[in-house]
Amino acid sequence: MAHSLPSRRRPAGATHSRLAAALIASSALLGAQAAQAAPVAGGGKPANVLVAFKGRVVDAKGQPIPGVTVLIKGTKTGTSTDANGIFNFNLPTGKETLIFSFVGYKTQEVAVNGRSTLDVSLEEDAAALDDVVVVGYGTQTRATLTGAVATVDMKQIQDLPVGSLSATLQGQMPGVGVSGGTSRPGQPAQITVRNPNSLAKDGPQGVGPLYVIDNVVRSQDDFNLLDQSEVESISVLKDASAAIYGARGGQGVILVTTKRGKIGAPRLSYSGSVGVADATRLPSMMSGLQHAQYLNDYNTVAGVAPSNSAIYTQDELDYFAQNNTNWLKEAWKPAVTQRHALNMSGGTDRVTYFASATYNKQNANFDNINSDRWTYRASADVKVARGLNAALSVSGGLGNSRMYFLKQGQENQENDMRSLLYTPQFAPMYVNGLPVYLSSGTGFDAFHFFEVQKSDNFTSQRNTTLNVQASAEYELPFLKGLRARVVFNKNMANSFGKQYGTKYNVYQLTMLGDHKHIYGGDVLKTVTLNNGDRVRLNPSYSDNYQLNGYLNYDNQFGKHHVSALAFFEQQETHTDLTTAMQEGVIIGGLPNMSSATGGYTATEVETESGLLSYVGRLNYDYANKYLLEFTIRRDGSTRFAPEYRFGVFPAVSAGWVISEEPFFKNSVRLVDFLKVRGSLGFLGTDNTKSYNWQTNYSLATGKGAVFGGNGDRPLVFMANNALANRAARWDNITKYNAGIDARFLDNRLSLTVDGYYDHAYNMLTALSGSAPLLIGAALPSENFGIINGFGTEVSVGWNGRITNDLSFRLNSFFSWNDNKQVRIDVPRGQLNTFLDPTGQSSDQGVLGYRYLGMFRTDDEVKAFVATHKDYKIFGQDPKPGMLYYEDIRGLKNADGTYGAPDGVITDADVEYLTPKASNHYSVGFNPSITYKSLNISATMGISWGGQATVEGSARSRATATANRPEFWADHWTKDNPNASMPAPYYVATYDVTSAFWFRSSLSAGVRNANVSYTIPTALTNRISVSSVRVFFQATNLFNFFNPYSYKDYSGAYDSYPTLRTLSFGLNVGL
Amino acid sequence: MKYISLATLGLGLGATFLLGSCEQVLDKQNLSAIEGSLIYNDSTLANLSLNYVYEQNLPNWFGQSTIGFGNPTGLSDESFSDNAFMQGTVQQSDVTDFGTGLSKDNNYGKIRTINMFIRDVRAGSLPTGTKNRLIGQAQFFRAWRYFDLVRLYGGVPLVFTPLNGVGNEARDLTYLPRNTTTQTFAAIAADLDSAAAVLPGKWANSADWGHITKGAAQAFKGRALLYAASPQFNPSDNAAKWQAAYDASLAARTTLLANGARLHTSYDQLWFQENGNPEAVMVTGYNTSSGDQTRKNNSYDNSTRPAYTGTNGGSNVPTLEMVQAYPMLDGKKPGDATSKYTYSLQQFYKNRDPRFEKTIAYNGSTWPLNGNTGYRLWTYVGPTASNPNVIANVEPSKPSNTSFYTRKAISPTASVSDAMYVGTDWIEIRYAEVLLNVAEAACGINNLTEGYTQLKAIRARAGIEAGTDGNYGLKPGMTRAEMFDAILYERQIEFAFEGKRFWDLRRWDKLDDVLNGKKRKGLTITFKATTAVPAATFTATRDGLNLDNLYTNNFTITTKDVDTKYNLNWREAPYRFFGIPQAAIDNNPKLLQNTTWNGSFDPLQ
Repeated sequence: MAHSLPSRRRPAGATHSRLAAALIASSALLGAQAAQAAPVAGGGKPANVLVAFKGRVVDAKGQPIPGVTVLIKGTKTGTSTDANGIFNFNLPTGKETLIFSFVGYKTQEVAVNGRSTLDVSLEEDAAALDDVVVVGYGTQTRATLTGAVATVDMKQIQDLPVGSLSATLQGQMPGVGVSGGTSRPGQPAQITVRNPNSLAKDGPQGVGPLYVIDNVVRSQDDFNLLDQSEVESISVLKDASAAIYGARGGQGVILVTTKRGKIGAPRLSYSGSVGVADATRLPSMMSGLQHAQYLNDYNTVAGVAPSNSAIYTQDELDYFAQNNTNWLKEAWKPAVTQRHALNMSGGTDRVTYFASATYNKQNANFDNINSDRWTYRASADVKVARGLNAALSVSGGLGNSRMYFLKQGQENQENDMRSLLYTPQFAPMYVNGLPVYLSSGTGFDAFHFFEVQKSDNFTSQRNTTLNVQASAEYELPFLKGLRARVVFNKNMANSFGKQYGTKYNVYQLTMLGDHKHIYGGDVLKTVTLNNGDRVRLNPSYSDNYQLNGYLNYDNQFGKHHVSALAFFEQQETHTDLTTAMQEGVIIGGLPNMSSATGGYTATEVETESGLLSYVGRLNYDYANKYLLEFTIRRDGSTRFAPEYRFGVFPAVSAGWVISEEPFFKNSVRLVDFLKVRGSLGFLGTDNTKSYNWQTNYSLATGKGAVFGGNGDRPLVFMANNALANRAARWDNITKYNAGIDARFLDNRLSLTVDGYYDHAYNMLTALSGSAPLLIGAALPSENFGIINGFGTEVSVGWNGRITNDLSFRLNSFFSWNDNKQVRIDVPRGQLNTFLDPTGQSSDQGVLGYRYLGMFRTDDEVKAFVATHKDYKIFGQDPKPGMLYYEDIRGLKNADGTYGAPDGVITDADVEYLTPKASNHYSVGFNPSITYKSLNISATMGISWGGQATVEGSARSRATATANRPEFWADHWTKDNPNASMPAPYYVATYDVTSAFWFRSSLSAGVRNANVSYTIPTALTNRISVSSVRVFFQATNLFNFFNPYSYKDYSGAYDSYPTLRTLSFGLNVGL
Repeated sequence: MKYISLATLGLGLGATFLLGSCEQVLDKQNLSAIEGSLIYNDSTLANLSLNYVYEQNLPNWFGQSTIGFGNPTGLSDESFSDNAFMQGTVQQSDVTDFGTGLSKDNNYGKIRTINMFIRDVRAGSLPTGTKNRLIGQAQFFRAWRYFDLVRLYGGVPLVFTPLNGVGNEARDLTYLPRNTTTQTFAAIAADLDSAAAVLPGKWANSADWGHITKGAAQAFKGRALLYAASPQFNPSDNAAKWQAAYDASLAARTTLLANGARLHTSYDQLWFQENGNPEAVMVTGYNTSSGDQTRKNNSYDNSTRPAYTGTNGGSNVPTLEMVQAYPMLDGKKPGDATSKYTYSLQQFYKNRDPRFEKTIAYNGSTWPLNGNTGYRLWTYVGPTASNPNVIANVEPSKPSNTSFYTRKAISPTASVSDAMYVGTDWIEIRYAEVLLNVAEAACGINNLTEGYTQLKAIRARAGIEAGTDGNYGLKPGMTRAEMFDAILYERQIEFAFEGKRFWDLRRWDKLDDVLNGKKRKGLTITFKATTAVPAATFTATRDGLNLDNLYTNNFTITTKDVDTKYNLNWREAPYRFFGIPQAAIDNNPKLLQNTTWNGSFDPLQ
């Protein structure tokens, strides 16, 4: 049937047929089971006399714990405790064993033994050995895990008010890098696992990991659209344990399971916070006076006569001293963030349900821009009949973000910051209420931020997703432990992007001051600036499904535990993006096409792709002591030519729980648990662009020549992929990981150590340097590169109890990583020179010039030239106020070697100045102290090992229309020979990397801090509320050390600064 | 129990079926691209592809190649500029037109696009005549690209097919060495010959105006071979090279004449006629559209006019040297005792070659702009309109630093806000150039009569007085060397601010003579109040006052340096052939560096 639908152009063709079959099968099943289910409940078995049973669950301090799940062992029959920790239960015999479980506490089994009441005290579970860890397509306990899997303590991140889930993960796990996400609202953080490398440059995945939500491969955007309150767990697969995802698992996998209903009385909970976000610090720029003096000093060295109109005269300088406008400060203000999450869950042993809705909003620190996000989720798990479970969940979200549309100059979302920082502070925003004309031209310098802000120009993005997942699982009756499962997930995403830009007027004035630098006088002319002048829409949809069919076997034979899994997975995606634009916006009209009068253009991009995989896994353990896992996956991808589509990715891992051995158990007292484990996996990626294997052409706009008069530019055909590589295939990563998990001192101290070695080869590489430029086109990715990555991760946890009321936890970790490039793209002429990276780390350090000093006086220059005849710096004679460097070598000879030092500084005189450029060592430090109901916790981090430098945009010179950081105010002049900065005029000699621009790369700070207080239940119960917790949460609270005088500790000064958010929140459980 | 069995059966069947292989899932196609075979079997679609070749290669205003090397007017005595060339600090990797890495947008990227086009058209099923015309136009631009390279560096690797760089073995074959300069020029000539053989003398459809014609291919060959014969490439003055250049330009002139080309009657209006312009041999079309994807505006206009008459402005201002270079109305040089007109700096504008007034705008000149036909330009220092008590430059913003502006090809009618959307076409090869190429090559083979004929034709059109001897001010009986100088001088004036001066001086090895040790100059014109013309009312009345009277009585003229920082320093020897960027050599060590940059490649071979 599936093969009878031949339509190639209907990407869902295969889905429909296969899905139909699956639905027919499962509905037949469901119908049959539903019909059969009733008699079971009604009396399919001999009815027992039910025994009324009552109990209370408390914690170590005797406080009742609400919401504890109480299950009869071996069944799914159960209940949960109420606000007072009390549960009531009718037991069939009174001789059952009950299982008590609750997140953060050790699960406890208690035999009823005919009792009718029971008090149970649950022990807090710091070691979390029994924690269920979500791994690919299943779960394991921490104790029997053989791979390197990091998990997130959801409690640690539950209160964070940040706008994306990725940003909450910063500093939570070793080997998981999280950057960004706490500056510009609506911008998510980027996650990387274990310092991955990508050489292809044209793959959509980049160096990011694979995101899997409820067993379905989803996008990073989908991940970010989750609120932490709807997430049950997040695991990160760092080693061969990701092999079950085959190809795309090569760069790690982030696994998310969402919350499901729990058996028990309905529980409703609310969590919300409101906070204020402000810059950790705003960049300091030269004042108008400093800037004008800088320009004068620049021009004076340049030989510009004092009478030249470029010079700022004394009357003008005096005026600027009194009249200064800090454009950024005028525009910047603290922003408000808020987050609300509501969820409810409950159920019986037959049906459980969960539903949630969340809302998150961040204003930006500039007016008129913001981002917000709604999410919702509803799921039900139904036990249709004995052995048959079905689940259905619907979830989705709506994300909005709105930024300025800043089209003057190259379009860039940072243009708001840049414009505000670069605009000279001697320029006022308005004179007599008229916006001033800042600079000629259509470029960025002419940009008047406040007029654009006023004219409400925007770029907005609105993303909606709807995800429906249905699954059915059936325990096959003919073989104990065998289950079949079908999961179908449909994901529909729409996005609607819109840009609105207008023209606006600024006023050129006749100007005052001796050289006409003071803004004022009469209006000379009105200048119309064009900020895009368009309405541009780009709606798109993406339609994607994933279908899995599983067979799962799990059985215990004495001490032998065997489980096996076999499944197929298929995925198809179809996307369509249209872009429509109309120009000629009517100023004052509406921000849509009804108010645009100009020409239209529209384009469409449609894509389709598919993925098909077959997977098997076998797990074996003997007495929880010897652990073995084997997986294999065969993946097919449309990114490769048909004959190279499939790749096979096997992996094996094993563990030995030494502490289970009798000799150990009896002899070693301090060690409660000790496991060694290792894994080996052959993974890969398909991280290159689609249809890399076909030469093809596409239509392009804006690239046509004009013929025969003044007609519009026509469309053109240009090569879309000029060179194809039909032989490209999956690249390979062999991953080795060895680890130790241990618990000491009565489980109070836990230790995990991992070491890994990733051998990546046949890496899809877009060669550039090692191919002659005569080829004349970008080369398609080839299976070429070899890079070995390695590193270690150590986690140490301590769980201490000082008194009954006071306890603390400390999770800390250390990580280090580096790599060695065995074979990479190197220009032939650089092989065996100091620039040859072969055999080196991809971080070879900072490449720059050996800084010798700054010439302060003519005498210093003379003295230097006396010993360095004909010394020149990039062709220039040394002058006072210049930075100067050491001559290391001469120009390159024809044979590729470098000549002896030639007495002049050229671009041949660079070298690697430091061993490393970026930080390779990091330590995380996450303490938590609890006193009675008060908890204080923090996420702190230190990283070091690299070399930071002042960024290029801060080093470059200021111009009359572009300001620079404040440190430039102290620059060399004849009257200020001991200045900290060189003379601005000699741009080429200082705007290069050298030790002059070095800053410490040590970064240490408190990323998050949280103080929360749970109001005693005695109080809350009076108002019929089971729990109330209030908290104060801070993000980016402070950095211990900032090596820069002019900006915050991270990022370039001319991009949106890091925000510090202080928020208050409330959690209420009903 | 019956139900359970049924269900089991159903699920079992379902699972078996589902697990069955279904690779249809992977049966996908690229929905955003199109196969080459569709394009090159259809002449309309193939023309869209050719259109991309045009856009990639047509020069911008000043003949700029859009890669690396920028506006050449500032690299001569025409206009001020401050850069490493003028400072004498050019390093071996500074001229990056060769390319520094794989890119579809550098010279070799564009050559690849052309080579792919030729390959695909050949493989397509279009009629032979259509194929030939498509290929001929592409070959023209391949020659254009190699010419761009050879004049900067000397010989370069010649690539005529799209290289396959995928896989180590194929890639090894792409490490090509440089061809000699002679081979490179020969390749340029061969491509242009092929193009000329198949291209029409004139495109029948006016919508095709701007496409390369047979005459354009021949004219460009004439230009290329003239370079090859010039001292830069021909220091031994090999007569055969001049002969080849002469033959090429003569053939071009013959073809062009047969197809209606001639000197336009107006030296200034020739810029504003588009379709059918008789002087336009090769043009780059610009349009007046303002749409983001549909516009291709001529940005020269807006950047050259005074800032306050457009939205940018003030670039390409003429130096005093250029102002003084213009002949007098009788064709004699200023200060020439035999001229019937006396030249004085105080009234530099008087009785000059009419091309002066049409090229250079000066203080007090009448310059139709922004639709105002009686607009007068004022660039003096004196009482300003806004405040008569302050003495300052009267230009409202961004004053010219020489007191002059270039007015060639500046639209007289575009409004202030439309100046950025002007559609004036750039004429890369004018018929006048073909004539002067004929003259120069003829002079090379000692045919001085031909030189006189062409120079007179140019001067006659310019409006220079023929004089009693009918020589238009040209010295009779010039020697070969004098004739070369006269032609170079004529080119300086005729093609002022057309991006030709720098290349002419360079191929004649004269940049150092003209520039070195000097500082380019401008004027400061200061208003001096008199009882007849008081300061208080001057700004209100000046537009109605007689210019000669004003210059005699009310303006003080002083010269000033516009090169304030250093004396010009053009290093003849290394800059005659620039260095191949080190990155390109690293990328392909088979490329040898020029002898002028410490390498072993002799660009004179």
